Amino acid sequence: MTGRVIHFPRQPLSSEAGQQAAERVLATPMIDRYSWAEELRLEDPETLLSLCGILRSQGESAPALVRDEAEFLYRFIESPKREIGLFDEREYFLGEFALLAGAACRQLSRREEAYVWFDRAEAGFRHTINAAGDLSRLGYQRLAERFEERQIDVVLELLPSLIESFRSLEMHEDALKCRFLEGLALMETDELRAAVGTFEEICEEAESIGNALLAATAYTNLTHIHGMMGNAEAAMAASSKAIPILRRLDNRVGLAKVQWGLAALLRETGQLTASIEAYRKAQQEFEAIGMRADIAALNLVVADLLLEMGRGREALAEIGAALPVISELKMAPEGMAALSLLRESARRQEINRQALRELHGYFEELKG
Amino acid sequence: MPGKLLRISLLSAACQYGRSFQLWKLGGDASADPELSALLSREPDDVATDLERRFEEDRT
Repeated sequence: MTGRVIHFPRQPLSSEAGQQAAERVLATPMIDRYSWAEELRLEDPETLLSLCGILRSQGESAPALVRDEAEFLYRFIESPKREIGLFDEREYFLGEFALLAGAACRQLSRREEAYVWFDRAEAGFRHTINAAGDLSRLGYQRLAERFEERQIDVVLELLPSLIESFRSLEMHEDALKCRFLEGLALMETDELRAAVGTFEEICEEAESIGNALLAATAYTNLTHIHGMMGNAEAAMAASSKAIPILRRLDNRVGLAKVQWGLAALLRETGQLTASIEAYRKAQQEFEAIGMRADIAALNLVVADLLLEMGRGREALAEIGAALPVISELKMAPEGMAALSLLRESARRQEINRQALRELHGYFEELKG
Repeated sequence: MPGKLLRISLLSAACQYGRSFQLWKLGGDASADPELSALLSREPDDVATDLERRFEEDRT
């Protein structure tokens, strides 16, 4: 062997051994991991890399678990300061676990917490040598969060620059993900036909690059838009493409959203009782994964349907179930205004239907 | 020092580090990838010079 060889301190794990070590870490109670860190190879970059991969794949099936695990791993690396890898691995993993925690918080509508995690992710990635791609992924999460707060103008202003960054870095799947925000913005502004066009393009591109998750997510959105437009055949066709993929990937967030889209279709076609049952099923799906904001949103949608059916007392009970959650999650100003009106009307036992519609309309536009 | 020499020094250091890292990962075993094995058997400075030449071609 020619040439000087730099000697590194310890033998690394192979990628396969790292994957096995990551599975052992997740099977070990958090409380025991500190004392067993050496045996678990918890400071090995291959273990941490595999943990990132596993948690990333579970973001849409178990966001609460991902949030807790990502926080544990972030804290483990952060303090006491541990030597991870040889170069900038420690900073990269701090950024990556913070990004995972922030994205999970976004799914769970824990917005203030999400912003703090995103700041932590930036602090980590900023110290890595190749930060552009990771900071761009963080930029996507931040824009998605802004979208959920209905800052559509900000999203539309910054989205082209982010897409450009992904394209210049040849991160084509991430560039395609950005187009979801574009489609959702069209939904938000009631340009449903244009939104259909955008999501159909996304489906086509996702299938051409073999990304099943992105294709299924786009079909989920198509299910919803067609449902809102009362296009039964198109909604069913889109859902039949989304569901098998989502089941295969155990994407419970996606499955709940398809259910939501089908409920919207039933409502739009006048099948109110069946629609309520479908919304209930979506709520059960959301409940299983801890997505409380979506459960509350559906409480309001069901309340509106119940009012339409002349079942005012049941509608009040639905609203009563939703209000504490909405209040706790601190909605954006327009949501809070509608919430105040609704709270007051619920107190008087006379539902202000406009306030109810404004508030659940607000939620309706958030999903996607 | 001319920019070209600085670039070669930087590339040389990077190749030395990258080669050592791969050898460390292989733990004394041969790689299953023949292209990687061929690269690891070369002097890092030679690889750096080749790389610099290719970058130069790309630039022109």
